[in-house]
Formats: sequence, C-alpha cells, structure tokens
Amino acid sequence: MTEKTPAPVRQGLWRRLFNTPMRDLLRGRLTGRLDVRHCLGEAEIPPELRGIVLDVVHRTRLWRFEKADVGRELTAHFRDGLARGESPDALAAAFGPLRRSARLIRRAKRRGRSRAWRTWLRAGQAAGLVLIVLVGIYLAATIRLLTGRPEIARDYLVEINAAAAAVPEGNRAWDLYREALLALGDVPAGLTSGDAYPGAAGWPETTRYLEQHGEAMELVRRAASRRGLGYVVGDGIDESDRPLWPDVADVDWTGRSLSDRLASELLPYLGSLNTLGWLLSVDALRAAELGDGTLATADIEAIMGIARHALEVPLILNTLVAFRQVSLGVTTLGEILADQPEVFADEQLGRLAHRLTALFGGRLSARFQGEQMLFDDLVQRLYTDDGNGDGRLTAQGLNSPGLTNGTDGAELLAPIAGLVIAGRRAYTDEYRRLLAIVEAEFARPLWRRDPARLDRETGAGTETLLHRARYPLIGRLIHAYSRVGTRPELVTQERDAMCVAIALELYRRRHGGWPASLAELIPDLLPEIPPDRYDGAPLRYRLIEGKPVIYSVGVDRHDDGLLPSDGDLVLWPVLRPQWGEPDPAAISRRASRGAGR
Amino acid sequence: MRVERELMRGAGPFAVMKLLRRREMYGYELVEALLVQTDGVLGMGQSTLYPMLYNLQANGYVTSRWCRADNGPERRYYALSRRGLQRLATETRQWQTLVNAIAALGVTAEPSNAAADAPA
Repeated sequence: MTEKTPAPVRQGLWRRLFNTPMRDLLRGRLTGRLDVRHCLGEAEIPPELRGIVLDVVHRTRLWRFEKADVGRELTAHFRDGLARGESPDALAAAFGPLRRSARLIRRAKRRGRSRAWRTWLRAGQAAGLVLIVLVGIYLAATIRLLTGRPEIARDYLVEINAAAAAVPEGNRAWDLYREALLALGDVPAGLTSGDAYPGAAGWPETTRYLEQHGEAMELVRRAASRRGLGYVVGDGIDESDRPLWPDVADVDWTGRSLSDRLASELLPYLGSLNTLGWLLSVDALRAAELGDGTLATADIEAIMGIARHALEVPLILNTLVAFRQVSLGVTTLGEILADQPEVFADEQLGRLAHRLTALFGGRLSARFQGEQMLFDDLVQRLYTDDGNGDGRLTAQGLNSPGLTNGTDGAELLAPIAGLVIAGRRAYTDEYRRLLAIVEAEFARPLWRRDPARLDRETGAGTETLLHRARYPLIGRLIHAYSRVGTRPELVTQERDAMCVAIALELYRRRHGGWPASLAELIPDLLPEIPPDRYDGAPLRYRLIEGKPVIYSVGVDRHDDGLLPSDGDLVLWPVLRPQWGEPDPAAISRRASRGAGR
Repeated sequence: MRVERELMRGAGPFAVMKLLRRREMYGYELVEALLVQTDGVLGMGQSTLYPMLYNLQANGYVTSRWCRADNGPERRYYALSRRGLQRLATETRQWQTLVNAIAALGVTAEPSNAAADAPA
C-alpha cells in the first residue's frame, strides 16, 4: 500500500492543452486525457488506490500516452473490484509489489512499441556502445601519448656542422667573405641579376663599382681559395655577422627541431655567397674586356671555390647553391671563350679545364646526407626510444614548436595521431626505403632514368589514405627530394660541354681551325667525348657558319641538327641563365632579404 | 497450494489465452476467473496480470479495445487473435504432452498420490 494520497488536480486551460494528444487537438477537442492525476481525481476510487495507480504509473517512466493508458486500465480494475464488493485494503493487498509491477509493465509496454522505435533504440544503444568504446580507446591513447618522453640522443646539428667546425679558426674563408661583404656595402641590384655585361646599359657604372671595390674583390678571391668555409649553421646569427643581415630576426631555438633551425630563411649566408659569385662573374667579364686573363681566370676559379664552400654543409639547398655557382662559373667562362678567347693563355685554359673536371671529386651529384640527419632529428624529437630502434609517438614531440603550427584542434587529434601514425621503426624504415629508391634513381645517368619508374616504386600519388596517415610528411619529403633530380645531370652536362669547348679552343690554336668532329680532340685534348646526358651518346658538335656549336639532343632525345625550335639544347656558346627557371639561387637570395649582400 | 514460480512461469500466459479463447474478457474478470476456475492455483494480482497481458499483446497473441458498457464504466477488453489461437493450439499440445509424460511416471490428478511421493 502506498502512502501517496494524491490530491485532486484542477485542470486549467494550459494544463489541459499540454495534456491533450495531438490527434484530439487536430479534431478540435481539448480532452486533456493524458493528465493521469486529473483523470485519477475524477475516477471515484479511494485515495489509497489512486495513490497506487499514480505510483505505479510514475515508476513506469513510460511515454505520456502510455502512462495515461496504464493509469486508465488500473483505475478500471480497481473500480471493478470495488463494484464487486471488495474493500480498498483487499484490493491494494492483492495488487502485488509496486516496483516490480512498474518494472514489468514498463518492459512489456516497450516491447509493444513500433518496430521503428525498437530499431532506433537498438541503433542508439549500439551507437552508445561504440561511443563508449571509442572514448575508451581515445583515453587509452591519450594516456599512452602523454606518458611517453622523447630522448634526444644525438646532436645532429653538431654532425651537420662537423666539416665547418673542423676548419681552423684563423683559416676560415667566411671571415674573409664577411670582411669583403661589409666592404662591398649595398651591391647594386643589376650586378646580381644577370643584367651586367659588357655593352649592357649601366656597364660603365658597374665597372666603376668593381674598380672602387677592388680590394674587397681580392678578399673574396683569397677567401675562395681557402680550404674550408667555417660557417656554422643552425645556431642563430653570430653577432659579428649581424651587420650583414640586420633584418633576420633573433629567435630562441631551444627545443626546436633541426628542420626549423635550418629553414631556408635562416641560411642567409648562402644568399651572400651567391651574391659574391655574381660579382666574380661580372668581374671576370670586366677582366676579359680589359684583356686580363689572369684576373678572369682567378675570378672563375673563385666562383668554383664558392661552390665548394657552399657544399660544406650537406643539405640539398647548399648543394643546389653549389650547382648554381658551378653553372655560373661555366657560363662566364663560356661567354669569354666564345667572344674573347684570346684573353686566356693556354696554361690558364688547361688549369680551368682541370678545375672543372676535378670539381667535387669529378662527379656532381645530389646528396641527401643532411636531409637524413634532419629526418633522424625529427624522429628522435617525436618518438620515445625503446633501445631497439622502436618507440611510440609522444605528446611532447607533437607539441614541438613548428610541428603543428597552431593548427586548430591539433591537441585533440594528437591521441588519434598516436594510434594511426606508424611507430618509430616502421616510420624510419619507410623513409629509408623510399630514400634508397630516390638515391638509386639519381645514381643512374639521366639517359637511364625513368620518372615513371621513380613514381611507381615510391608510390607517388597512389598511396592510400591509410598509408599517408601512417607515414605523414615522408611523401612530401621524398617528393621534394625527387625534384632535385635532373639538376646535377644538367650542370654536369654544362661542365662537360665547357671542357669540350676548352679543348676545341686549344685545338684551334694548334691547328689554325676547328676540327671536323670531336673525335679529333682525342686523346691529346680530351680523354673521351663526354656523353650527352639525355641519350648517353657523345655530345653533338657542328660547325655553323664556320663557328663551333656544342649541343645536346635535349628532352626529346632526337638529334634535329639544331633546326629552329627543334628541342636540341645548345651548350656552347652559352646563354646567360634566365631567371625564370627554378633557381635555388633565388631561394638563397631571399635569405639575405634587405641586406643586398 | 502454492506452486513454485518456475512451474508457474509458462502456465500463466497459457491460462489467460485459454480463458480468452471462449470470449473477450476484461482485466478484473480474468483475475476472478483464474482464481475461481483454478481453485486459486493460478491466481495472480494486477501486478502480474497486466504485464502479462501487455506482453501477450506485444507478441500479437491478444488484441484489446476500450469499451463502455451501457451506463457502465469503461473497460479494456482483451480477445485472442488469430495468431494467439495458433499459439494456444501449439501450447495446448505441449502441455498435453507434458501432462502425459508426468502421468506416465505415475503422477495422476488424485491428491492421495501426493502422499505416496512424500519423503519418509
């Protein structure tokens, strides 16, 4: 027996409205029949029985119309019992346990609901279960991520700077370069854009500038002759260099990855080296105009020295700057050789040919040694180290400055990243695997390369979403590396062509005319005819109106005999580099933004 | 006599469907009929009957309708559906099989046999 004895409830307009089923409302009837309390009040059964009905109905927690239905039926039952002469107490006692009754009624009524509702309920339960599981996984992943700590075991910055740091302090080329740059002041823009050459507008001003800064230029030549550059990268701008690049910001590099430290904007010295290379090139043209072969030779040799210095740090950017300097030196030599060959003595030409041939050990190739160190440094900052080459992603690593770059929601997604992204070993292995493919391709001469094969073997552009998610960044890194691809080969071809041009000039001096074919240069002046990098056959040679032309078949690999617009590539006489080409020098020029040095 | 709940579990719905086979009945009527016709053995309160009826209705064995008698109160009447008839026939066969099996063990409807099975 419940102790609830509900008081009769008056049903005002709003209450009646609220308790009227929609169906009744649409029929214009304000029945209020969903109001159980009100209906009970009008049921003419004793309060204690009303209390039982209300209690049970309330405990069922059913929908309103279901409650009203149950309340109506229980009320009818009690009314029938009273009509048969049973006492309220007997009826109450015979009712049975209220809670159990409510529970059973609820279960039965819910079972009688529509299939659509039951399907929706099951779907909701399933979704709830899935959500619980996902939340559990997310929490476990979060704990896993937060409890890991990366271990910085190797200082790759030291390793990258090993060659630079080994240069004795009193013998660093950079010290002389710095001095020269400070003496040169603001270099006129035209001197570093390929627009300064004999006969060009402003050439008199150019020559005057170079004459006025003769001592600075001699400093540059002396610097370029030194064995080591000695410029240590990645540790901010030294105070002694600050006057060169006043616009480069001071940054606290503590905890930052090597990639951040060595971002191209932070290697302004490459821009400065590039500027000096251009000055040497223009000075060589000036020297040739004056008939000074010694000075022109010294300038071109200095350009090669700058190229060698740029390569002291084993990064791709440095390599590209070095190749650009080689190309610049070759172009400068080629111009002078074509227009004023008599400027050079035989011995000077021989020396230049030897320098070109011996450059970088004879082979110009892209090196990824530095990039591997950058990658390994990134990995050691991202992952734990279990001592066996494996480890898991860490929150500390993901929060490294520069990695997420303030991406919205990055922190929330970090645990998921921790689950999806490959472990340390798998991540590193994948990088090494793809890098090995790229290096193997670059080890082949241009005529044996197949860009489609490289894409196929690296899976470029065809990786699944899962693969890209498991190995983020790697695809982009490898793609960036592969873009370096043809540059070493093309610079090699320019270099080779210049060696042939020198041999042709020496032949002309000896025999009073040009050879009918390059074969006549062998073996006195050339050990062999260098290959055309595009097809592997010997470089092509023709006499056009009595003048020699060295050329390559070009991308189409078809010798069109230098017909207009035929795709053949003229290697000598050379044209000045066009600034519209992708040019790493432009990158390093940006690095000395505002300095003009 | 009080019968164990486990034994009662299947009997209640069967008994209700059996009663509804004759004619439609309302809740109080069913309670009375079960009490009287089974001599109290299958007597049950509202707390048991109505959940049972709702379950039978959810399974489609019974249907219901509200009806107001002439000058009388409204009541909900329950009737056996066609599906309920089929179900009743099935359960009837099952109960007959069960009763025959028990009878084959020597258990009859006579009360004196209960004493013969009582522990010594």
